[in-house]
Amino acid sequence: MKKNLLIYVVAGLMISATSCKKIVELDPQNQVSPEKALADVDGYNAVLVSVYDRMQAYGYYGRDLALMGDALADNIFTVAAQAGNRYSGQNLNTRNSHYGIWGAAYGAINDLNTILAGIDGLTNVPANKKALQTQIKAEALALRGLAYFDIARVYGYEPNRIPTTGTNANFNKSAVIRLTPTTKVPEANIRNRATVVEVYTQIEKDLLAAIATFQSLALTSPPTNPFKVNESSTHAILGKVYLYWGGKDAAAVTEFDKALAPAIAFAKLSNATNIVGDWRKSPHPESLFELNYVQAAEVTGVTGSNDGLFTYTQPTGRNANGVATFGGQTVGNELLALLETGDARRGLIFNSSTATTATAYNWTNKYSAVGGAYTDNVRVIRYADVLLMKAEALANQTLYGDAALLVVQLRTNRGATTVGVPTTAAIVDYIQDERRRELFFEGHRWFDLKRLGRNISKPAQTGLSGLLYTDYRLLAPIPTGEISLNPALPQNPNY
Amino acid sequence: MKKLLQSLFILLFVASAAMAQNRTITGTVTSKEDGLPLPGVSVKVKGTNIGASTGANGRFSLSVPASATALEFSSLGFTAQTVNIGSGNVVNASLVADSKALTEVVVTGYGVQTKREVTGSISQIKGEAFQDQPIQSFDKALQGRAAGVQVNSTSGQPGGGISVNIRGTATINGSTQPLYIVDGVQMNSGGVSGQTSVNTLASINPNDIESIEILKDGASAAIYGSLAGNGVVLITTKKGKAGKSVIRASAQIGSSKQYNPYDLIDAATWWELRKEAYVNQYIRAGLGAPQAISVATQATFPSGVPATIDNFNWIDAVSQTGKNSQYDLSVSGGDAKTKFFVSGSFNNNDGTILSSNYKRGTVRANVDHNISDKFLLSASISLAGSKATGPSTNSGFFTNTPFTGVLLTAPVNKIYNADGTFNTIFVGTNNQNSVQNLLQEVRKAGTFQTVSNLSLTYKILPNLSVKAFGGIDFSDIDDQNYRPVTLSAAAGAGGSGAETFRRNINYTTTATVNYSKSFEDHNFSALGGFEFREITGTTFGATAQGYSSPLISLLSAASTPTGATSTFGGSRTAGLLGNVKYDYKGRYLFSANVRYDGSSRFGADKRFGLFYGVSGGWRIIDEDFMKNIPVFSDAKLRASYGETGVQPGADFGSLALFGVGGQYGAPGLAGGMRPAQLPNPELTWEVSKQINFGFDLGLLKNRITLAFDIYRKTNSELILPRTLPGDSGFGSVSENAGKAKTEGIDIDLNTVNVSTNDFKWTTNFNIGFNRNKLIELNNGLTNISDFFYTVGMPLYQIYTIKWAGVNPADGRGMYYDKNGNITYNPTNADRYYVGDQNPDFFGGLTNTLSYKGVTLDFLFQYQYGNSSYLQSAQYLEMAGGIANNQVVSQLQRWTTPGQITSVPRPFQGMIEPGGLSLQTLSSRFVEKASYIRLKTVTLSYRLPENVTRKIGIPNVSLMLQGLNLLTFTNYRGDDPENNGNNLNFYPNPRVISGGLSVQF
Repeated sequence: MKKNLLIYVVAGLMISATSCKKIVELDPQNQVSPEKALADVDGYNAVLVSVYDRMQAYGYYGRDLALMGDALADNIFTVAAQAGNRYSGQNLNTRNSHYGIWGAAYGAINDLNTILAGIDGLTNVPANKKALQTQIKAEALALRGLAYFDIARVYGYEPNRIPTTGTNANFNKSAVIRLTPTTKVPEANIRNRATVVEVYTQIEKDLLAAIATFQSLALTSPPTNPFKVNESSTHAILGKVYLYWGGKDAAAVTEFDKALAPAIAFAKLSNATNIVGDWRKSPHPESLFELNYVQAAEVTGVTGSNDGLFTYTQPTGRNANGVATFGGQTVGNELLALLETGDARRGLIFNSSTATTATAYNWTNKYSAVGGAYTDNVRVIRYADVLLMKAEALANQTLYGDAALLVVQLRTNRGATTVGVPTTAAIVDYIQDERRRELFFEGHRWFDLKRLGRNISKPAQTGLSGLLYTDYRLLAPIPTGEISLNPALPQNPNY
Repeated sequence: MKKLLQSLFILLFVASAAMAQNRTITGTVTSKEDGLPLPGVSVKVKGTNIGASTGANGRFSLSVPASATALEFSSLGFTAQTVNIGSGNVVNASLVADSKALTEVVVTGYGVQTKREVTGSISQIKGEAFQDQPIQSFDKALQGRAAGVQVNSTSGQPGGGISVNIRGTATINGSTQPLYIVDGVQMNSGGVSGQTSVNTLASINPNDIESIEILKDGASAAIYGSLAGNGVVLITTKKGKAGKSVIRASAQIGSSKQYNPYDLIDAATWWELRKEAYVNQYIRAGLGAPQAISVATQATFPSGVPATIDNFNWIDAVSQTGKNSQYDLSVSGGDAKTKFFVSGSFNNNDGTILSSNYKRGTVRANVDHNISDKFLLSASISLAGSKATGPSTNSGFFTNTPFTGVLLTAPVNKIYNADGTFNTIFVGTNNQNSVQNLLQEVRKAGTFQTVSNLSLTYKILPNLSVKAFGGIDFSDIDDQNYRPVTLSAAAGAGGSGAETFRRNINYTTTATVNYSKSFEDHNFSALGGFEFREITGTTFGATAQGYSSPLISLLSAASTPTGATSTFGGSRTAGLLGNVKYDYKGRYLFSANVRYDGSSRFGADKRFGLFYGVSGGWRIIDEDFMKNIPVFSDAKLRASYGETGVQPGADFGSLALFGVGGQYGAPGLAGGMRPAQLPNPELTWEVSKQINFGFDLGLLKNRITLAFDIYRKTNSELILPRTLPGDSGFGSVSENAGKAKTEGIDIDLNTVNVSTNDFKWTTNFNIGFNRNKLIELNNGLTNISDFFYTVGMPLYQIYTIKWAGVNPADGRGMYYDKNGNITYNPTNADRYYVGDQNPDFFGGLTNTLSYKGVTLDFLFQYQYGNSSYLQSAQYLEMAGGIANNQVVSQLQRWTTPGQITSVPRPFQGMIEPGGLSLQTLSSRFVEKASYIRLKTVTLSYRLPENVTRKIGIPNVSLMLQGLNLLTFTNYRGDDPENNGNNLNFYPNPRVISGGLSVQF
């Protein structure tokens, strides 16, 4: 009798346990399963937001693509004692001091692949969400093209600029191409790098598809802000890709023209009177695509004061806000010398000592914490940039006069003299100088030298003679973890 | 209790079979100490199995055969006594309490055993060992007191964190901390605050603890299954005893001082070194010394070199003398039916750093009540509330913690400006004034916590009972941070504030059945049960900026809310558990534990697992052949094998997840979502298999006792990240692979050196030897974390370049290349294994001397052979090549050719052209951190009773104690107890306190 009782109790316990395998299940609340996340258009929209968020990272567009190109090349002299180790190595072009966008860009690409793999297959999309569905797809295609373009130009050569001598001779590897999302471990298989031409072909394909999708929306007015990629900026990016590609100048000009067409473009050219003031506007009136930062949500705590563009480029204690910075990125003497005294763009440069040194340096005010403490927007592509790229594409086709007209148009709007703008082959170099005058501290200089196959010059203040175009440091190192996982990736030469 | 059941059983089963009985003996058993009757004492006729046990009033009645000559009395916690039967029918006994006896109870998880029955490896620390010590959490009491248990303080913040490793660690990403169980309630361990260091275990008042048991071997721990892989620490709080109520009160106050070993150079000397560094740099570059001096001046004194260079000691500036006070009161007692223990305490401790403080109040009520003969109700309720303020110890270098800041801030930097405001312009370091940060930043945590349980036991039969148990470990924590606009970190934002509210609910429910039976010399007992545990943790937080006044710190005073967060985490564990014990004549012992355990942290394909342990013992001392060797008073062999698990650290590590993907404003802010984790339905526990052999030896009537254990623990299925190609969009996925083993010896030796009526001297010495080795990694890798973990080597290697000293010719630092040749510029390929962070052995030595009422107790804790990485030296030992504080040893820098020294010449920027930065981690910054520390000293004096009787209080003691008073070490860092990277560490303070306790 009593023994039976024992058996009942134990058996009861066993049953209650086995019938309750569910007893040890618990669902997360801060995260959801992929099925729930991607149930509707709004879910995909949230993934697209994640891509913009990733682009905002300091290691990607948030700082490095917006500034490091000037430090790696000849626009910036980094004052090491002031910079708190920020860009000190980059300014001296030391080994491994370079861009590191691999993780951020591929994170964005996987998000974009997730969108592109599923957005068309959504069923039961309400009528009022159809346009959003198309819009998301168009932006995703454009951003995937841009992300691959960034990887291609940071880690590989441009198709027609592969060195033929030196350690990197005939090295034609570029990005790893992945066009489908990773949802399971086996899908994260090891792949090798595609060739430069394959990657550029893929970029063109995405951007053309993006443009076609934007056009299918049949919008009747230009966008009200440049905070998301749109048809206008996609044309501009595609034109830029053609310019980097080489030998596609006519196609580039067509894209640049479309990009600036008033029917679809937000951007307008600033004039000499307000160029300085426009840098204090959000968005910048010249922006085709601008990453917007909301200080209260995105630049809180010490993130801004440690990593933002403001803290890199403003003298500590002697800036408009009177706050401490890690300012060490100063305007190189050669760059300053390029700007004549009457040029309105000189108004963006000031001379100052800092709270911790009596020595005065030249600084720029392009990043003046317009968006709140240590917060500035990043102008990914700007009207003047497009104008100068168009001039370059024209000059490449020996249309020197047409090219000069665009340069004159820009200089007129900058209060700079138009005397001496050449209408001969000399305009080719003149355009590059104009790009320095116009686009300094916006991250372009390194890529401009590299895509043209030129040697990297350095400010005399660095005491360096610069890099030959054939130097291995023209390419950034692929993260070493990727190489140890897959030596056949392969790593860029000499790293 | 079990003895009682057993005795009853024997009585029922055997007595009825007995034949001739011709007289009845009655009597009363009392305790010699207080004269109170003792219930449940086993009374047996010598040489027979005839017996009875005493009732609630201590009385017994027993029919004995005519041949009976004596009665044997035995009870838990008392020395057994044999009393001859005279001619009368009354035999009384008065038993002597004996805490050292082998009959002492050891808590084993879901049950108790006597020490003599233990077949696994269990260390026990009694509450008396750390009673009234100025510690805030009991884990500190484990330091140096149990062989093989390594305890390191991770923060000197009062009430702060600690790390406990039982028998080493053999995991890479799994938890290394044991499972803590307080009166059956499984605890969460670790820190509870995001603002300062608050140890969750500090909610238990150490003075409420009766004993701590540490289940070290796999077989003993196996009853806790997938949570027991790092051992189990069982904490049992005090219970009341039947009899007169005992009131105990104690109070003490004390002070604490920071332990700072750095001998820093003064500002004027510092400036000389700095100039020398610039001159060396400029001359090397082919430039002149005057130019160097001018550049050095501009960089150091922008407004010109002052006539006298004032010196500022930043470490002194942030230090304070801590005051601590501690008050305890407890009342315990009861009768045959109800027993209680009620206590309250209050602690107030200032840390040794400005603004560092910990206050705590606790109350506890433990009640046991026999509702009837069959029903027993037990309740244990505790409440603890605490308020902690103080710096964070593990994040950031300047704004979040002062420790790095003050160590690095050069002595030329003033603390205050001439007008009394804080200096915010610094040479050499970030413009952060650590004194200002500490004084103006609000950083506090308020906690409210309870660890309570309720259980009901129903005795179906004398040898069969069921028990229902429910326990909860609940905590609410409110973290606050406020940085006024006056602090540079918050100046841009107009002041910033953050508040986080955390709630942790962790409850355990258990149902168990207990059965025991004896057939003649065969004793058998079994336990079966089911247990369910759920842990959930939620946080809610908000941040804001733009304060109207630096004086109002609440979030509502801010103009702009900057964010709100809420998070959720949790896990569930459920399992069936069982234990079977068998012994023959108490001489051959056998025990088995089993648990079938499942957890929500395991992947869907591997959700449940079987864990088990078996152990056996042979009490050689009970064999006849030992009777002739009187020198032995105890001898037992033990062997055990067990398989336990270590749960994955991540709550939802096996699921495919989309998580928060930032936000973007275009321009209205929208939230993002992104793939966060790839699924791994196979992810499951790490398997820990442990084999243990040991013996217990008692010599000279247990004047000398020795416990020796040797073990090998193999951890397999280690949770390791499988690196994925970054272009897949994921960095890694966790998987079970890899293997590590650890093996060692634990020795615990107790001796009674002198024992006279007036003077007694006892010693405990314990030592644990341990070594570990990584056997296998996943994916065919031979090392991960850059050789920190290398197959075939111990875990936690320091793998870096080797320092070869200073070149006497030019004063530059030299290194060895892989071939042992000198080089200025070693590469990654030239690295060596330069240190192993595991100690070879560690342990403690306690001596207790008592003479009449005076007792002196002191504990040395020691550790030997572990290498430590001195990150602080990478700043402080640069001979002035960097604008940070420098230590006095740097004055021996190289200055003249031919000079033999170990300190390289100063060089501004620390990189000589063609060389490596002197700051590069090399063997120069690695050294052994072996130490011996006088951890605690307690001197107490119990006033003579003839004095105290007069004032009506029978027991009055005075005490004086010290913590961390002496440390013997060659280590150059702040505190050898801090293992690993030594920057950012809040050193353990020296504490002296004195007090009074009364009991009546």
